[in-house]
Amino acid sequence: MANRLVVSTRKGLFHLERRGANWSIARVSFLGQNATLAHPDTRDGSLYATLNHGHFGVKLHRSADHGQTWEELAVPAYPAGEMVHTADGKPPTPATLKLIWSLETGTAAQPGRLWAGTLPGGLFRSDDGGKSWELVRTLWDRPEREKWMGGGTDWPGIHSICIDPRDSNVMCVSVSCAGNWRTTDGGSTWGQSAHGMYAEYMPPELRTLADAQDPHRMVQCPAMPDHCWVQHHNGVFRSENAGVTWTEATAVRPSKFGFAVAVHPKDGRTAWFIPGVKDECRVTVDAKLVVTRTRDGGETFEVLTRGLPTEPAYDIVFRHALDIDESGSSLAFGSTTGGVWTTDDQGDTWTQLPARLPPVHAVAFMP
Amino acid sequence: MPKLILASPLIPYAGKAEWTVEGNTVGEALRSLFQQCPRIRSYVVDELGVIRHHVVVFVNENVVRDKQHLDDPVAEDGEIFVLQALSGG
Repeated sequence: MANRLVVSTRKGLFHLERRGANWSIARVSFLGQNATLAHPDTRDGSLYATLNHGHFGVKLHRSADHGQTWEELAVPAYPAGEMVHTADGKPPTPATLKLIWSLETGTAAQPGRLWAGTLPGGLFRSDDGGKSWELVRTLWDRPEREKWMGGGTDWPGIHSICIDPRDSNVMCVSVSCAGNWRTTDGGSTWGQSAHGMYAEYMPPELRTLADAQDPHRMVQCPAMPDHCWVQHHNGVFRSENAGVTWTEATAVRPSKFGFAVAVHPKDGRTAWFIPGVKDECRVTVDAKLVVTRTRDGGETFEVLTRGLPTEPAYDIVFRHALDIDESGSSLAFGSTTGGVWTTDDQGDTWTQLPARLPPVHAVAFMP
Repeated sequence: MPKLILASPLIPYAGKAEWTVEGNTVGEALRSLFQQCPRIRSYVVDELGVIRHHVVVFVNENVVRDKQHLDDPVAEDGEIFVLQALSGG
């Protein structure tokens, strides 16, 4: 079981450590700063952390010693002259970095390789550990980008990057709102792969338009990579062909809306979700914070409540704020009201961290 | 030579608040600062060189309104303040 968890919050990066049966705060990095994401690098044990200073922009830092010291790295930078056009009627704007919304590391054979998914929709690659970044133009220059839209923000954003563990040339990036974009040749070419999703927020004749889809978060099972899950704006979708096509898991309950999803690292049929009511009412269903779990690929769902609040709870869990460790037994999630909950039995029972944190953006187990 | 003063939240990234800069315009003065302290550049301007949305720059008591071209003149004894706009939250 993992013994370290990093929680990215509106006012700092919290390093939690397990002592005995309980988690507690061991250290706080960037106290008072808006820490939006943290990503562990399994190649060398380091930790990347992104900040979004309200005044001073997006920053990226790396620690090789569990957050005791940090080195500031370069951030992706859009070239001059690039514009963001969206299909929702907003005027075009110059492309500048608004947020690093997802980070992924390359394989052991690619020691300096990093991927960053950003708002306003660019994918960037580094091959020197974040010292420099290059816009992946093969995706950015797709003509379909003019049909992309913002999802939760004014600009489209890449929130999920899934690299097939069998072949690092096969990748899928998931975009709010632009569906999923998949490459099988290391990024030389890209194709839309949100086929099978539908968008209730679009006019009827446009609901199955792949470019209009709003997947909130995509995950891929490391041991069964054909099995992928998407928590979408209006449903839960699953794939059994590594994200090429999708079918809806209609049995999800108590609702089909949410942001976060986690998949068991060894069993692609097992996944967890944290539901909200619906897009126009983004709070918990019946004021009950619950986690839902499927163990049969979405045929049936269990609603898990033990250890979660019995009093009214309006917590919302953002798309990066649910994680599962390498064992598949421990999960953790954090909410917009600063609660953090952990489990070591796949969600049968939950324990709340005895602390009230700032609003949580993301959680990540350290391997 | 003009003096440039950074708001206190920027001091951890710049090392100090007060800088002596060269230049006859805000743009030249900022470039002088960035030459002396490359790290602070991305905290003040975005990748296009535009002063960040929630950063405000004063030349003496005058707000710099054109955050892109940065043509506002700076006198030899001028003071430039780089502050965080309260709208940033």
